[in-house]
Order: sequence, then C-alpha cells, then structure tokens
Amino acid sequence: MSPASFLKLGLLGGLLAILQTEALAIPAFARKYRTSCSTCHIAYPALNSFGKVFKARGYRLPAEEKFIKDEPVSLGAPAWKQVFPESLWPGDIPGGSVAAFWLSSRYRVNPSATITNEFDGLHELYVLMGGSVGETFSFFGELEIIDGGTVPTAFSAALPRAFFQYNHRSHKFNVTFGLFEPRAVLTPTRLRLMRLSDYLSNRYGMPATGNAFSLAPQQRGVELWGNAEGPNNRGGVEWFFGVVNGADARPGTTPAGAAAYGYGAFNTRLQTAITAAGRTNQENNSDKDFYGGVNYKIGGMGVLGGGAEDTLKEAENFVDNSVTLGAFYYRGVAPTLVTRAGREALEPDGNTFHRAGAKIDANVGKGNILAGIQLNRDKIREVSRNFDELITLVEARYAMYPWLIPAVRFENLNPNFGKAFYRWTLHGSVMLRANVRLSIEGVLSPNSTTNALRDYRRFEGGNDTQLHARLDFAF
Amino acid sequence: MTRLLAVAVVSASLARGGTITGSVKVIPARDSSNAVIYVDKIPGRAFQPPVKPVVLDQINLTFVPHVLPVLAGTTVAFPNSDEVRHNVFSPSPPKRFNLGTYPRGVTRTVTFDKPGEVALLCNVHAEMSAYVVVLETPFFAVTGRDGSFSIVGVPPGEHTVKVWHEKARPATAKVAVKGEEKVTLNLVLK
Repeated sequence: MSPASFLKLGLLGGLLAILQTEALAIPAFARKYRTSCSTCHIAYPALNSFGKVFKARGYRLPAEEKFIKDEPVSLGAPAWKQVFPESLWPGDIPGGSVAAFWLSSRYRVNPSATITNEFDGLHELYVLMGGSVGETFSFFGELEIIDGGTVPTAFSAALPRAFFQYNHRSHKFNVTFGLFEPRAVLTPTRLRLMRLSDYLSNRYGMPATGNAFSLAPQQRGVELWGNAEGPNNRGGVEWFFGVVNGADARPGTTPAGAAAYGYGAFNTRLQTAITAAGRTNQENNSDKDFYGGVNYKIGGMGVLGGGAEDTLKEAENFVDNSVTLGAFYYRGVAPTLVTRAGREALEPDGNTFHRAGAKIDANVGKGNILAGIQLNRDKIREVSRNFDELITLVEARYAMYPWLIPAVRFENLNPNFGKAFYRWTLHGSVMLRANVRLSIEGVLSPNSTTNALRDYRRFEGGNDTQLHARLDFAF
Repeated sequence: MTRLLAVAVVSASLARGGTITGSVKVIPARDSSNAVIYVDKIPGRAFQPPVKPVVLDQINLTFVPHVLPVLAGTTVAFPNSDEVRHNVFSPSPPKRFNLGTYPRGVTRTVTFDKPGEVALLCNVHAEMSAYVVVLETPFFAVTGRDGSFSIVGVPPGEHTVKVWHEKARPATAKVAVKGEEKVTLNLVLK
C-alpha cells in the first residue's frame, strides 16, 4: 500500500470519528433495548459471553421484559391463552424497526492478484433483520446488497441467512428452520473477528473429489438444539442435531485448490456432467445430510445468563473466565464421478463424506484462545481409499482495552492427496465507537505458491498473502 | 342494617390493626407494579364486601386499573368511557361471564363471589386485558412501580401473606402481626 493510500484511509477514519461524537443510530437489537453493541459484542460481529446468552435465548435477554424499551405490538393479551382453542394463541411483534445496516469499506493489497492494490469503495452493505415474536418465536435474516465490492447475483449470496426459530421456555429444546449456518463448526463463520479470510475448516472443500461442500456459510434445513446451565448457574451444555440439504454454497464451481492438487481435469469433467444432468442448483441430490454435536462450558456465566448482572453491562463484558469443550460430526452426500468398467459416470450420491471436529475455547481474563482440529473425509463409491484433510486451527485475541483488540490465527491443512499448507492471519481492531470499527489485517501464507490455491474472492477464503485495512460501520 | 354494622366493624378493625409494609420485586416484568399482596384466609373470620360497586373502567382501549383486587362478594362496575364499543368477558373458572358489546356511557356490573384470579378480555380489542383478583380478606394492596406496598388494619396474629402477579410465580410468606405495630416484608417474584 502506498503512503498516499494509507493517508486517505486515515483521513476517512478520522473524519468518521469526528462526525460520530455519538452513535446516532444503532442496530435493531441495540435499539430495542437501548443498549450498546458492546453489551453483546467484542468488536462486532464477534460475540462475548453475554451475546452468546442472548442468542441462546432466541434473541432475548435474561429478564427480557425489564429491558425492552420498544414496546412490542400486542397480537392478543396473554389471557387469551385461557380461551384457546376457541381463539388464536396470543403473541406480539416488534414495536420498532427490525432492520439494521452494516457497511464496510476497505483497501486491499494482494501481490499475486491482477490488481494488486485496490479500494473496494463500498465493500459490504448488509441488511440485518432480527427480532423476537411473542414469548417463544424469533427470526433472523441477512440480505446482502453488496458483498466483496459487487452486487451478489446468486440467491445464496444475496440471502445467506433467513431463519425462523422456536425457543421452548426452558431453552432446553429449540428449533431453527430455514436458511442458517449449522452449529456443526469449530467456530461460526458469520461471527468471526477476522474478516479478510474465512476459516479453512468452515470453507475448504475437497479438491480431490470435486466436493465443493463447505460447512459455512449456510444450509437449508432444520436444526434442533438446546441449552441447560451447569451447577450454580455457571457454564452449561449446548446440544444440537440438524438435518439439511447439504447443498453446495457455490453451485457450478470447483473447490479451491483443484488444479494445484492435480485434479483440475477431474473437476472440470464433474462440473460438465453435473450441468449435463441438470443438477446445477444448490441441492444436487435427494439425500439429506445430518449432523450433531455438543458443547460444554465449564465455569463463567451460565449459558442462559445465570450469574449475569441484573442490569445490562456495557463494559468489560469480554471477561468471563471459562473453558468450553466442544465436538461435532457431520455426514453428507455429494455428487461425483464414479468409474465402472472403465467408464466414468455421474453419481449424484457417489461421495459419502464426513466432517468431524473438536475444540477447546478458553476465556482467560481479557484474552480468548480457541484451538480446534477437524477431519474432513470423502469416500467415493468404487474407490478403496479415503480422501482426507486434517485441519488444525488456533486463534487468540486479547482485549488490551475495550477498543483495542489484537488477534492472531494459525491454520494448517494437511491432505492425504497432496502437500500441506498453512497460513497466519494477524489482526488488529480499533473500536472508534461501539459501532465503528477500524481494522488492519494480514494473511500470510508462506508456502502457498500456486494460483489455484489463491483467493476465491466471494467467500473471502483466500489463501494468498494479502493485507487489508477496513472500516466497518453498523447502524 | 346488619350489613352497615359489619362494614363499620371492618372499618374499625382496619383502623386499629397492624401494618404490613415493604416491597415486592418482580423479576420477569418490566417493573414491579401490579403485584397483588394480600393476607390469605383467616380461619374463623368472615368479611363483608363493600356495598358500593368498585369501578373498573375502559378508557383509550385500556382497562383501568389493570389489576383490581376485591373481597369475595364485591360487585364490580364496568363503565365504557371510551369513544368505541367494548366487550367485557372472562374465560376464567372462578367467574365466567360475558357482558356483551356495549357503547360509551353504558355501565354493566358483575359480582365476583368466588376467590381466584379472573382474567378480563375484550373480544373487540384483543390486546386489552385486566385482572380481578378475588380474595377472602380485605387486607390487600397493589404494588407501585417500585414494588412498594402497605397493608393497613391487619388483625393481630400469625398470617399467611401471598403475592400474585400475572407474569410471575406466586410467593407466600408467614407474618406475625402484634397489636398495631408495623411489620416489614420484602419478597421477590421470579
């Protein structure tokens, strides 16, 4: 990046800092409760423990009613329950706007790209919608108007999340239905602090089998899940089980690294066969994938808010000394080419694949460290061997101040069909305001030398060495 | 004459008894108002309801007050002081009734003779609701926003005090009242 570019970016950030002497507008949940983003986020969108509680309760606070400032619109007084089934069950809808906006602008330096230095202008413009409906239902949606500096054309890119949720009053049994990011990940893509690159564990496909499936960003289906607090309202357990389409988020594309690992021709033939068979939609077979897992939090705030303060805490919410252990398993089916009697043919369910992961996520003082390991295994019919990738992930962050959060991530991907590679991501966030974030981030991938492993821009899953400076603004 | 005498006796006892005061914190609600705190049935004691009806009005599409504790046998008048027609009915077992739909200026009455919680609804305006809490003693109070309350004229003795709130689990406490002294009681509803 040239000195002039840095100067421009600095001026832009400074201007926003001056103009935003007060957060003039804040997203939907913050508006509903008249509370700061920092109540639930440590450098949004990354959640702190209280934010995870809010999510687990179906986008409701502990002692919800006490904190609502936007009076919901009644769809029937609660006493109508006594009249049921002769009447509708009562409910309500949010009284204020459920929409919020997230904008970002960035300057990126990528030495291996055609354009090495570029401003995205408006890098992202997302409309986020969320709210609770009555005592048990809630919803969340994300509409991407601009993503990666361009207007998304694919449905899955334009609407990555849209789900409806039922939360039992006990929160032990809940249902999410629609388009959502499964809980079967080491850590959620949508809530990551580092935005330049997504997690390899969530996004990297299997180039050797042509399987472009990725756990994130979304699947269509139903997820059953629940939470229960541990002894003395400390920590607790989360369980989940889901059935989803197991769809390819990017139909018609080959997994990153296909050519680099020597499977470029195979992937091309597979895509040709899929197109010829008319299976170019996101869901390209009739099999449904399933997954399940459990997370157990030891110590700290209860997973449903036990031990949380009676008043909303807007400072130092990132301190929650605790350890969470988690594991998941995902089983899916994907199309592939199967060779029988020397003849290659498309089998929509020819690849049975497995994803299994385990993690440890520790909050210690102002710091957090996440360590995870994930095994990706594809098994193609008529092929005796397995295609494996072993992915390790370590990510750490430290809130030096509530507004200054450096972080680092290390990832290693070790396939049994080719060479391993690793990458570092270094990050620093400066919260100019609770809703304005300036961040600088660099991805260093020293042993990634082939073009085919490079950035696939839409999904920010880049494996290049690159750098960006970025400004986020949410309201 | 007998009824007047009984009312006079109750009034005299209210004036002479002890006072239970304190606060109720209602965790699940926006504030701690509209909790009914009352002395439960006192064995061997019967109380006469007021002669005049107690009023629960309908103004600006709202029942006023939202919570009305009454002694069993009390008649409640439901005037319609609004610009629009209202209906008052209750599906609650202690007193199921339907006063029909009536216009501004009309008042209809109901006598609540069995103890319990009676939810009031309007089948014209689904968001309207109120509660008549029918009690067996006249020793009750409704909390303010801060949860504070004061029950006066409580006869001496060991009493069971109960608290009801539409959004919380009920609570019970034992209270000993001696003479005309003041007893403090603080409760939390979850």
